[in-house]
Amino acid sequence: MKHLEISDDDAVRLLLDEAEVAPSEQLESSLLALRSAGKASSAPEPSGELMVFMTTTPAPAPVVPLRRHRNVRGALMVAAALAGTGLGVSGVAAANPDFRTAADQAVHNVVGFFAPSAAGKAERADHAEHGVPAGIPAAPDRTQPNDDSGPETGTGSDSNRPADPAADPATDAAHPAPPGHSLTPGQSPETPGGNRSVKSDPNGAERDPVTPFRGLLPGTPPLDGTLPDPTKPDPPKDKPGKGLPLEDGSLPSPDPGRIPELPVAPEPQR
Amino acid sequence: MLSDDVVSAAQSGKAEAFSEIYAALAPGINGYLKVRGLEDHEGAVQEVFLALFSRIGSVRGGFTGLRTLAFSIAHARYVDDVRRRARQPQLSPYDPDADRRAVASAETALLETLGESDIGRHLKELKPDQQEVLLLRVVADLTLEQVAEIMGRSTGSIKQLQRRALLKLKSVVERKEALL
Repeated sequence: MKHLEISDDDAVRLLLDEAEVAPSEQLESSLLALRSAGKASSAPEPSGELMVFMTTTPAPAPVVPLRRHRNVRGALMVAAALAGTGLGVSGVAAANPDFRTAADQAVHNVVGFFAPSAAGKAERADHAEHGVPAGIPAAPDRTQPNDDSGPETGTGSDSNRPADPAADPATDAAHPAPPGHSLTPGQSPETPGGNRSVKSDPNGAERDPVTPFRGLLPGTPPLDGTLPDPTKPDPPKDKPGKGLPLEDGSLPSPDPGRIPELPVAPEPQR
Repeated sequence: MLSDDVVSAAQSGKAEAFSEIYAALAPGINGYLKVRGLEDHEGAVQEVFLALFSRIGSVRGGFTGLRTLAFSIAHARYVDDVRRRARQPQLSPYDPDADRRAVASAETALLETLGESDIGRHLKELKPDQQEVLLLRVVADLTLEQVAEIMGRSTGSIKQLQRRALLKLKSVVERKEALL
């Protein structure tokens, strides 16, 4: 839309008509001089801030990062540090013969567990035959008499050593019960190394590792919910140890000379 | 007068449109501020256009609305200058012998530009409101409604002020003419 331009004379005349003022030559000349004074002034040069609006700014150049490979270099440094750490740990571990033995055993266990080969099956069967599950090192043979065992007092001072040699788990592990022979009450379920012994029953099914002797120990009802028969006699209890008085209060041997002497503590020197 | 398309182009960010607007409005605003007596009227013109271009997106009414907004900003700058001068009064007495200024004041320059008509001196015999109405109507070429919007008054009061200003100016001019 283009606005109509009017001359200065017409503008002054319209102004006087609008104000209802009688026109005069002196007044019109004064108003024309005032109007031309405003138009005569030239526009000042625009400042730099105004020139920003009045000049077309070229499109900014694409920004190129100066350090483009920063991420790649960081990843390489991290990978080098991890590789160095891994090599160091591997070298230290390879220099330790115990570690190699343990690693071989662990590899065998893992391989035999996930992909049991013929050799693995044979090995597991061999372990099962000896009463030791696959994956657990065989217990050392402890049938030989121990030199530092000393006289048996039967007091149970050594908690790791059972009072009854017949109940020795090591011996039991070394000589497992033949097939078809169940465990008798009083046999220790622990292996010498403290590992829980999971033995197979005659049918080949493995026993519950959590409650391996439930139903076998006196006073523990079986899991099938049946109660023990009250007409049946109680299973035999544990025998007293050697040197201990019997249940009726009598000594196991009437000979007082066979009663072990109790050690006497030396009197403190003053 | 520019077309409304120029304003639309400026609102869309075209640099040529800004240049056209500046070339069309800057002389009038500069003359208005110079007649009003601002010392640094050219610097005030820069400030007016900076504010105008910053707010050009909110302009309504085409070029007429843009022109009204431009003179509104110029009027506000003039009011600010008057208030600033009122807050900083000249405490020391003026000594013409000590005045080393070689540049004439804005009013002196205006009077020089007005030439033989002596319209500057005639305007000084009017009241400030009457001067403002006449300058906005004659120099800025604004309508009554636009002047009323700028000065914050009703159109009727502006029309009354304009009538009294013209009658006063007429009497002054005719009296000067009679004296000569």
